[in-house]
Amino acid sequence: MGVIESETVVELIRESTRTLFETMMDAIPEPLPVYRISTVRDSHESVFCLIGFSGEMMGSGSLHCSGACARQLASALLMGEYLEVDAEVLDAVAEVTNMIIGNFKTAVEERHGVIGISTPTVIYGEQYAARNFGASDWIVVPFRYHDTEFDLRVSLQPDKARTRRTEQLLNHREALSS
Amino acid sequence: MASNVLIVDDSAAIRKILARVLQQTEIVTGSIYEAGDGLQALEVLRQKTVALVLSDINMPNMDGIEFLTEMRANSSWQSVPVVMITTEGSQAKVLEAVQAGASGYVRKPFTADQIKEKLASLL
Repeated sequence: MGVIESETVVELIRESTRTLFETMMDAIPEPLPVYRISTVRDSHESVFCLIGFSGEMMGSGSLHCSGACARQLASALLMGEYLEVDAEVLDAVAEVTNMIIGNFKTAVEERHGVIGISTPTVIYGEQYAARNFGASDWIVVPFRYHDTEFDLRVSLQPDKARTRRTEQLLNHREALSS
Repeated sequence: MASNVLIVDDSAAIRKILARVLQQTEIVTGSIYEAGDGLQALEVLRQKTVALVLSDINMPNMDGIEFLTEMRANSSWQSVPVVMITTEGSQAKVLEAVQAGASGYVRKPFTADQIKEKLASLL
């Protein structure tokens, strides 16, 4: 399994995001310049929703936004008004993340093999930090949405340990049959 | 018989959206029941009669495919249509759902019209 190019990640995330917002939300978010980062550190009220990848490729996909943006996303998805970040808002952000990352995963699977995804984990608060352990940074794909911003962060690498195990198994079978 | 519908999804947001869509249709004339995973859904089915199930695939405790397999193994629920509504879009996953007994498949994100069309074809 080959490494997935950054440009491909950005293209697929933007396409998946656009599809979701065209279908179920109230406006198309504007793509902003992409960058890379290895940590999330936020001292303001914000929401961070994380989904893990496993299988042929491993890593994570996540959505990070302010509390105000989270309320706007929930209002658009659920067609209601949310004045505070409550359980319904967090659930809506989790589902927005799930649909974007889930469709991204399906697109990647067509080229790189089967990938499993976890159910979303949502962190909400102030003064928290998250770190991406391992060799790769997150590719950050930001968007402007109404008067707020959110970003999708993706880290995706071939599972080298899994590939090694598969090769060892194949070599073992070959040795037994010869 | 009133057409009761069961929505199975671990996301309360999706259950709320689907319930709203169902309430807009004249096809669903009965109650709308909700469950957060396959285990809860089986419990609802033991207590209520439903004409249709809308189910997610990726859920904790018991996923949509396991739930569907359990349903099809029970003679009381074998003929109840089950539509999978999921972000899972690979051909392998669609095939797995069909082989487990799914009556339809809708990809997330979805429009209200897609859900209504699917309901109209099954109820």
